[in-house]
Amino acid sequence: MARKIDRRDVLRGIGAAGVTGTIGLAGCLDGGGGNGNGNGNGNGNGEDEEAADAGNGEDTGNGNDTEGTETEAETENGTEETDGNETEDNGTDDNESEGNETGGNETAEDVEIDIGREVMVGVLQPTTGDLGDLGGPIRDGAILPGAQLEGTGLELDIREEDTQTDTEAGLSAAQALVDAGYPGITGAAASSTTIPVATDVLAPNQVVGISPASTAPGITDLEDDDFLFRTCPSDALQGEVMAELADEEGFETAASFHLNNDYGQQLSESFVSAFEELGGEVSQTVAFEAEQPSYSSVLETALADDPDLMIVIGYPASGQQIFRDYYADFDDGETTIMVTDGLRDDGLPGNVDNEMANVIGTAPLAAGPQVEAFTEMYEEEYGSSPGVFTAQAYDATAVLILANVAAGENDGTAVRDNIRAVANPEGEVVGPENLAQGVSMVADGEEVQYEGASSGVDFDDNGDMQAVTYEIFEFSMDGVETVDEIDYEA
Amino acid sequence: MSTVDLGGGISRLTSERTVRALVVVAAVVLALDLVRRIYTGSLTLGTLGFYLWNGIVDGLVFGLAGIGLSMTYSILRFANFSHGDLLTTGAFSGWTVAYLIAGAGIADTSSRLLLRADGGAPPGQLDLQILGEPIAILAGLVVAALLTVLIALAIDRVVYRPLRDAGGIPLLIASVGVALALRYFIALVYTSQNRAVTASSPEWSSPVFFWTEGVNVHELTMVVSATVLMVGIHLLLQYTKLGTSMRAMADNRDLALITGIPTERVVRATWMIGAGLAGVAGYLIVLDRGTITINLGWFLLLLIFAAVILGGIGSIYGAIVGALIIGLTINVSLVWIPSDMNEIAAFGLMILVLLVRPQGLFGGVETA
Repeated sequence: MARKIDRRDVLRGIGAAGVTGTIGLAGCLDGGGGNGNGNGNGNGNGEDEEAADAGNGEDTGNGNDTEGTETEAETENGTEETDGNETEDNGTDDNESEGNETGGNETAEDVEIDIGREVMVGVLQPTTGDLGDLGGPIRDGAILPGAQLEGTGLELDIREEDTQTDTEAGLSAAQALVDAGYPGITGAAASSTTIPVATDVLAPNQVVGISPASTAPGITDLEDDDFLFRTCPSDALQGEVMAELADEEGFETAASFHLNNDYGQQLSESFVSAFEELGGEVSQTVAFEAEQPSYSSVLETALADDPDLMIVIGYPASGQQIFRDYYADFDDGETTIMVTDGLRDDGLPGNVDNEMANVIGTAPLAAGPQVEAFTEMYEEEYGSSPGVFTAQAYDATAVLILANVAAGENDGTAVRDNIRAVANPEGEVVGPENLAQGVSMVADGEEVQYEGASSGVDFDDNGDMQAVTYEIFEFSMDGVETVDEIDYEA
Repeated sequence: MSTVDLGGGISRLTSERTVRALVVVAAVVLALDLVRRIYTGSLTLGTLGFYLWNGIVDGLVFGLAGIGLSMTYSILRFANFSHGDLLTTGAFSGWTVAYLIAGAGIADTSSRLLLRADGGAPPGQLDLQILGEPIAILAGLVVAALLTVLIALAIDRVVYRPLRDAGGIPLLIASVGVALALRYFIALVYTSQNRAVTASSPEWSSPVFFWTEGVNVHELTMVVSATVLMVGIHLLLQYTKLGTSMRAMADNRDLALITGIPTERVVRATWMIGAGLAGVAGYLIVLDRGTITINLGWFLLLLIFAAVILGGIGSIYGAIVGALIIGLTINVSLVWIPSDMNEIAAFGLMILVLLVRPQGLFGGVETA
């Protein structure tokens, strides 16, 4: 656990602006087999899409249904048998692809994938409830690989379920996905949902889960038979980042005001111990319940000793009320508030009706090698900038798809055993830029390593990330702005 | 007189006395501890005053919502679980109107009509606070009351009237169904996202409010309106013919019928007053809180029931007193216990009171 801050560089206004140009998900008109390696020559654009779709309509009919139960051997071999009638086309494919397949800059892909079966991925995110404001975009990120791979001929079955930010609802939603035979699930978001889902539903049924947003430190050592991974970092790190930041800003006393669940308690504990180690004094630690009618009295308790800093760990629905009550009764202009990833919501200042100038925050940042391709794709698809954990959600689903293809069957244990194989180093680099090509390569049995939008996506033995980046953000009426970045490595 | 009976009577008497004595001892200990804390400075008077004020505000919220519930209980003889969602109905309909008026020319019609379901113009942009847009807010209040009444009457006509003589349990189950239907219909129209609908409340400083630097005008509006409405209901019940009929019906329905009281008309009046209060309560709660959610009433319902049962279900004065006790307990208990336990304290107190007085504080005093 030798984790330290390696590098800290100021990147004002990094924002979401990045690569210009459009991205298109163009497929080949020629019916392709899994052995057509795709070329990604960058000519895909919006206009191509229609044609591509038309072409793929034919492909889907291409014997996939009858081959639904084919064995691994066949998928690994690229399913030549099923596509024998179209080898001429594949020939041209191969020729084109040779020169281009390692080029990392393509923004569109021309890949035909046919592995002869359906790839199933479940998405379990809170689109309603306390986390609803963040969960919707996270869900959007999680299903984005589906949109990206549309038109490649890969039969992808992504099913969404809503946890309602509620453990019971989350458990039954997870059970529904498991019962429907989904071998891998992107989810859940709240740690208090993810932990019981992993121990009570996923592990016993041997279904693998990759959470994009559950940061509770307790997940690291969870008894999950390695069926739970996450693309977000543990809050054991975020607590240290927060404490370092508080120390640098010269705060001597701090109060912790946190949501009464796994996420809130564990992150608060992590901050408190790190802050005390740096010589700070923690005046009050107050837990609050979600979605209460009023937080005035509880805030009074938390702010009892006039601390320099108050950390607020919670989710947006409660956060709106907390900050409304704060600005109504307590805003003395002296206390700084530090929030975390759970409250990184662009709509918060508008909903609080205050510019929240005394609030800073930390959150895991999407700073993976291929974040720009992801951001561009997300904006194109949904018309808004990606939010917190959306990139992590994309990566989780992408890794599940790759691992599923590598496994050769919709089996949780097989998917689990292939996650590190497709994500960790050694192999051809694939990522948001060339996901379809990556799927195709995996189908051909080539070794790949997934480099994600959120991070390099290397899983350690516990299923945690090996290296992550944090951001420091501030609020304005326009939303959230990143003002600083901190890199962390295990 | 047999000795067995005597023994049983004595033991029941002693156990009741024991509970009573325990309650008194606990109250004294807590009061002494409060004094000690203030004396040693671990609790400032300012903090205690803040807790008390918030307790009263919360209590008035529960009370305002609880009167309607208590009225429908005493006159219609069933626990209306859809009462919370009538609050929500009032809040959404009223604030939609307020948004439509205040947002004219600033926000899109669709965004105003669906109360920012698309995250459109934030309330600060509309200056939607009581001094900035008083007409919009008043119009919203009126619509909140009227629309909730209409919806409650419609529901009564369709659901409850055919079940009028079916007894309490079928009506209760039906009301749970109505609650779910109402809530998810609202979610269907407005989405289930939380959002803010009022701008920050202005502060009002005046020497009258010596204990604080500035009074939150929205909170003050809520408190004053709630008090006025409670007094109004008291006057209505005591000094009008309708009020007398209502009390007669609550006491003995058959007798009321024989005496020539038009019961169905009284039932309709009860629904109108109860639902109107619910709609206004929901609207005012949102004015005070600033945020709106489809769970607004549902989350309050348990506390409202606690308040009503504590006060003696069916008694309106009981509902008000019970609500204040629950509100104060939730807030002042923070002196001793962490906030995640304060509802436990409130419900614990309710159980304790019911052990001593199973009919609730005002349960013996008939009625309304």
